[in-house]
Amino acid sequence: MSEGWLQQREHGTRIAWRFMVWMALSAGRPAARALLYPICLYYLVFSWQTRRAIQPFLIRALGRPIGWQDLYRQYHCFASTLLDRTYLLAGKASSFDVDIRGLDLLNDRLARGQGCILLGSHLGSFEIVRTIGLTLKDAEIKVLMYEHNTPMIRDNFHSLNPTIAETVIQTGSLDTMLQVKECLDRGGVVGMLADRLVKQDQATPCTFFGKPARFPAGTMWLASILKVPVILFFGLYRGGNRYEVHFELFAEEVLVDRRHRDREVQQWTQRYADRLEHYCRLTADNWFNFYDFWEEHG
Amino acid sequence: MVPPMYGRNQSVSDISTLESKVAKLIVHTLALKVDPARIQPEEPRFGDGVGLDSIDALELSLAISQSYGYQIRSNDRDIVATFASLRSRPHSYSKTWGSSVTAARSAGSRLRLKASDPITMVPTAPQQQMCGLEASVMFPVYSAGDS
Repeated sequence: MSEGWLQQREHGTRIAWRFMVWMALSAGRPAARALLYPICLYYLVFSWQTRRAIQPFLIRALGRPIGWQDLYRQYHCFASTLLDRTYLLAGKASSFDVDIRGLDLLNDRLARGQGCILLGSHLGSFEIVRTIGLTLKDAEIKVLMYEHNTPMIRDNFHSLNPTIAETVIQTGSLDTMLQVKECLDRGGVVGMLADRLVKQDQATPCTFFGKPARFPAGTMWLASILKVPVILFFGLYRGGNRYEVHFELFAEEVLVDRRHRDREVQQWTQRYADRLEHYCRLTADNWFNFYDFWEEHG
Repeated sequence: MVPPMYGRNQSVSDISTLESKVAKLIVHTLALKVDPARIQPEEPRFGDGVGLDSIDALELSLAISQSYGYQIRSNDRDIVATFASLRSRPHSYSKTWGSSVTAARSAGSRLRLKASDPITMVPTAPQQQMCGLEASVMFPVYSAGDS
């Protein structure tokens, strides 16, 4: 776990992005998907940095030596979900085959007017989960996001669906967590991703695939202050137009004794890392942390 | 309504009592390992407001709501800004004799005051303060102007 992803620049240009979005929406998904092959091939050949960063993960998650086709799958999977994000934001969710598991966990609590934290990761697509959110009746859904390092992607998607901007709580301002609390108090759902460190985040040392990795400590500490149920979610891309969404109860309440704060936050975070590892083994090609996660390259 | 933290009518000792109370609240709430007396209210604590710092602000607002019964909302811009340094640094506003005279005259003309009008001023601020000086000296002397 590192802040390495913050240093990475977005590739491509705004015009190329706009063209892709226009293409995707006017030519349709099959034609746009055909374009993903040359694009992924391009990245496979030219972005050696990314390739070097993702290799250790793939070797650990797959438990075997990896080849070009594994790397290519990774890029293709990422590109597919990014493309699908365009359709999802444009309101074309019905063309996807989404298998949802454990949604009752969330529905039951929302029916009781209980706010919930939805805890995700950069494994798979969170957009597909947001789509489910839009189908939950009367539930307010907000997503806590750090969008400062991908302004191009952000602007593009915001222009595609302006209502999305209203559902985003930007991290990095003093009242960020006050907004989170207010949404939960109204019985809403706040989604957050807990596998990436943002600058100045306090980190907690965990074990991920048997190797030490730093995870943000703030997430579990925040959950313990907010005293609401925490539900894990994973929106896994399974090829073609198939997605699998898993909801899993993490804790009715994350209890942290202030006197042993560091230790207990670490224990909770480790539990999260363990579940993440479990799903990573299921769908290694959904891992979209394209950077030196274990901070091994110094 | 928010109890004004640093209203004009508060004496210096009130402010420092409140400050030390707030300092204690901060140290206790955030489980800081420092002496409350050493908390510098002017020092920005939530500088960049990223990650844990914004969580600190949340904890602090919960503690304030428990201790003072006031719920801080994210749209209370002033209060959130106050969190940033707990006490905003004093700003200097330069004033000249001329500008004070002009201000007193224009106030007088707005109130249509004439020199012959029988007026009694009851200033509520001491004249050592700028606002007191303006209300108790400049206004009575210059407001009625020439008319």
